[in-house]
Amino acid sequence: MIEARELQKVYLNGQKEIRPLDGIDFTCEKGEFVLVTGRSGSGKTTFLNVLGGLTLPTAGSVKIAGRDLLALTDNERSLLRSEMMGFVFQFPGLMAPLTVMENVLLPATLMGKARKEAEAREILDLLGLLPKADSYPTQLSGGELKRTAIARALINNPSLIFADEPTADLDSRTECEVMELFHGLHEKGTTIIMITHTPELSSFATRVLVMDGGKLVESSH
Amino acid sequence: MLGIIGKNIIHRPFRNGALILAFAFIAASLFSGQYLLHGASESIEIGVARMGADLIVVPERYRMEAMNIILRGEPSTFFFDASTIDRVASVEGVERVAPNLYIASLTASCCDVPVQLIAYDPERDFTLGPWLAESQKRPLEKDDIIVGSRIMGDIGTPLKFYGHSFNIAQRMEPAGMGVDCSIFMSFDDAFVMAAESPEKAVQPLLLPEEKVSAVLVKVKDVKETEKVAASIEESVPKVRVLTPSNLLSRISGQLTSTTGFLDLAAFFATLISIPLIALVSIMAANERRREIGVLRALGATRGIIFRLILGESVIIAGIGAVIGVVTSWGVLILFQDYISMMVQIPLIMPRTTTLTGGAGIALALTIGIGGIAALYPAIHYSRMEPYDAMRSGDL
Repeated sequence: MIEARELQKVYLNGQKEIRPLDGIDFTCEKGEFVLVTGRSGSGKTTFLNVLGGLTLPTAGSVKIAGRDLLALTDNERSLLRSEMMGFVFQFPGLMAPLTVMENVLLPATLMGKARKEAEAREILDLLGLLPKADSYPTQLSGGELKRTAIARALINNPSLIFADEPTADLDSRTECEVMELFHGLHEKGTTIIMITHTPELSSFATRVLVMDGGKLVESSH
Repeated sequence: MLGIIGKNIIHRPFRNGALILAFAFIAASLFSGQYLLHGASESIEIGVARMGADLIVVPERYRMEAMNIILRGEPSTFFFDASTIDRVASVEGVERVAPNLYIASLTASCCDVPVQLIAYDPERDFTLGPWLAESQKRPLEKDDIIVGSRIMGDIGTPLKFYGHSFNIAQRMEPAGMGVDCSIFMSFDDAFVMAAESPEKAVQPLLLPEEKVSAVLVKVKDVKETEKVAASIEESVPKVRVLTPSNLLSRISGQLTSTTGFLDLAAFFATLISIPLIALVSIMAANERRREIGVLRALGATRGIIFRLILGESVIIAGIGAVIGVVTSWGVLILFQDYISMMVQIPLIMPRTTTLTGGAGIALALTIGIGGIAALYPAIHYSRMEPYDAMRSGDL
């Protein structure tokens, strides 16, 4: 499903060179649930974004379902993201002028796809958000915002989900609800790469990676 | 996508409201310039055609007053010797002549201010006659007057000048020139009015015998108009000849300075507004970097982001342009007379086709400005990598 070789990402901060990714090799099979942990600044978020094609590596290669991200045009990468991937960020990333329903439908709307309101209602119902379908993001709690972002990531039925600390800032009950949701998706065959700072969540994963200094330093099943 | 753009615009009412106002101002400036230019041009066209004469001979000393009567209807009274009529008629190239008497009225029931009374000789006149022949259902009788479009009163309404009562027999179509504020009466009626005035009016009207104010001239060959005008000035002492071309050039000078001012205002408004609007667009896009990054992560292509940013600016510009054009159109129509008086140019409402064209130009230019102003942020932010866009910004 994912094959990354010798991934490097280098930023220049003035004269200083920063290497959030420093020669990472990574493979992920279809249907895996991979947790990525590590200290702040260890390169986890950059790793996730490179795998998702949201930024290109300085060196190395990434293949998703056999397609080399670096060989694709920007439009082709956008299309691949739209068709295969779902993203959940640390921040909810919802558009304030749009309702919950409109935010969930956004990936489909942007691609000019047929309205998927029935699917959106189904997902919102699954996440307990149907009564909030016409609410605006400012009217939602932190947990509801996170769940709306997850619902949006699911609208195009992605086979691969990248989630960057989806349970951050959530109370334990909401955290549990969100993780149950990811678990359910994994059970249905969705591949999930998730960043977390919470070691207790490793029970949901098929593999746990630890990053430090831009390298994968540990991998356990 | 239009729905998203619309919701984004509504979501930031103050900033976008201010932008809409800025665009409305630009559109209003552009449209007003077009309106005044065409309104004045068409007014001159109609006014000169209505004048009916190829040349107007006036006393040398009263050339400006005569022009002001013709162009703006500013009342004035002046005379020269009636023998001028025959001397002008004898000039080579002159086909017909007709005298006019210009009399400034006292205040009358029709009008807040004095108006220009113009006495004409029905037997010799060739300017009003043909026009009346088309529209007048009955011949003018004693004490019948023809009024300009801005003179109040219906057909048949009595009007008093210098204590003498007249009847409105006919009303002229608006010309946007002095004729709109003028009242035409026969020589005989004018002399009766003057004779009665010491008894009936608060101030007597002294109308000397054997005097006229202007001689209207029809030339044999219109191509020779300027040449005939020069011949009259050479052979008749102490007169000046007004021609349509020098009337036009006098108005054109004022028109050029007025429309020039408006063009300059529109130019500077555009010059200042493009970088300002561009700056606001850049700030707006910068505030929404993370949103742009998220949209890209959700599968939006660079083209979609480009169209979202550009579309928002173009729609804001379009709304502003419509508001600006409609408002300035309304204001110009409502205050047309006042504006005409202030900028001292004759003005009528231009033809609908001309106005529609002017509105179209103002709309297109304003929308174009909106597009140009948003071009840089649209290109810049659509080219950002999604992750770079998301690393800062608010959402």
